[in-house]
Amino acid sequence: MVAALLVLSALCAPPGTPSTGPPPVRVDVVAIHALDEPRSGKQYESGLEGVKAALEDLPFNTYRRLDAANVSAPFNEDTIVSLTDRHRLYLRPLSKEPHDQVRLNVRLHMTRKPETGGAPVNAINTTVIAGAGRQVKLRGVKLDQGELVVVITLQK
Amino acid sequence: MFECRWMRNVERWVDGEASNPDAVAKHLAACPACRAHERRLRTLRNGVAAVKQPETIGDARFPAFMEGIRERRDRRPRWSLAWKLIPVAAAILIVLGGSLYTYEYLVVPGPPVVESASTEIEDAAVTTYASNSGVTTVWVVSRDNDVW
Repeated sequence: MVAALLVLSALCAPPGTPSTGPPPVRVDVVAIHALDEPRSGKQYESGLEGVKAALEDLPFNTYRRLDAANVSAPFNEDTIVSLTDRHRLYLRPLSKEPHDQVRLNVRLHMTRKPETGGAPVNAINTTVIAGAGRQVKLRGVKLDQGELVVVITLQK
Repeated sequence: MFECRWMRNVERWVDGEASNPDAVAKHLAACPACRAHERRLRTLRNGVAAVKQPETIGDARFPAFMEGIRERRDRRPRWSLAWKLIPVAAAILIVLGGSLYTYEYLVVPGPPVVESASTEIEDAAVTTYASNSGVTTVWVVSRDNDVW
């Protein structure tokens, strides 16, 4: 009797909402600490090979890998990537665009140092249209005598 | 049926085109097969002459007849032009379709395009640029480092 009721309730249950939106976007995120050290020549820490070309125009000689993540970002939802204890990245795909591109909102969220109030702020809030394999670099956010650099790569 | 070698000459003689009519007439008098052939030819000719009626158009029907000719003359070029335009239209569609396909699937987009960029940091500004390597940079520029 109970089994029959379970089957009946399963049959009568409303169907699940079908997924009509585009599939999530695969995004590679690499956080780098870029700084100048007293020596000549540029030094890239292991694990930065895939983003080295994106860093070449920066005026620093040392690049340390802070974090790397490959995330699946659903459309119209925030996907959060924690970069440091004070910096978080919000990725929000907004729409599919021609040529297999994606309109992507990126926010680099920062908590200020406690001595300056510790208030959270969007250090960068940008919306870009990018195709698969293309890279967007965020820079300029100060981090311990250097900069926090974030390289975002859309995957195919 | 007996075939006489003079029969072709007899046919030409009946048509009035024999080069040697006297000789054919002399042969006909002596050859029963050719005489029979000549009779068949004349019967056939008389029969055709009996059914032949020349096409004539009376004065009353002439305007309608000419109108029909004019209609067909004027209509034919239109259809002809349409048939000629079909391959041209097909070629245009193929080229257009190929171009759209190329544009949509084969054209590789350039560096990411920045639609908007801003910062909430006081006294800071955001600038963007695309490098030769195809990387787009969003750069927050601030004068004051201490508040970070």
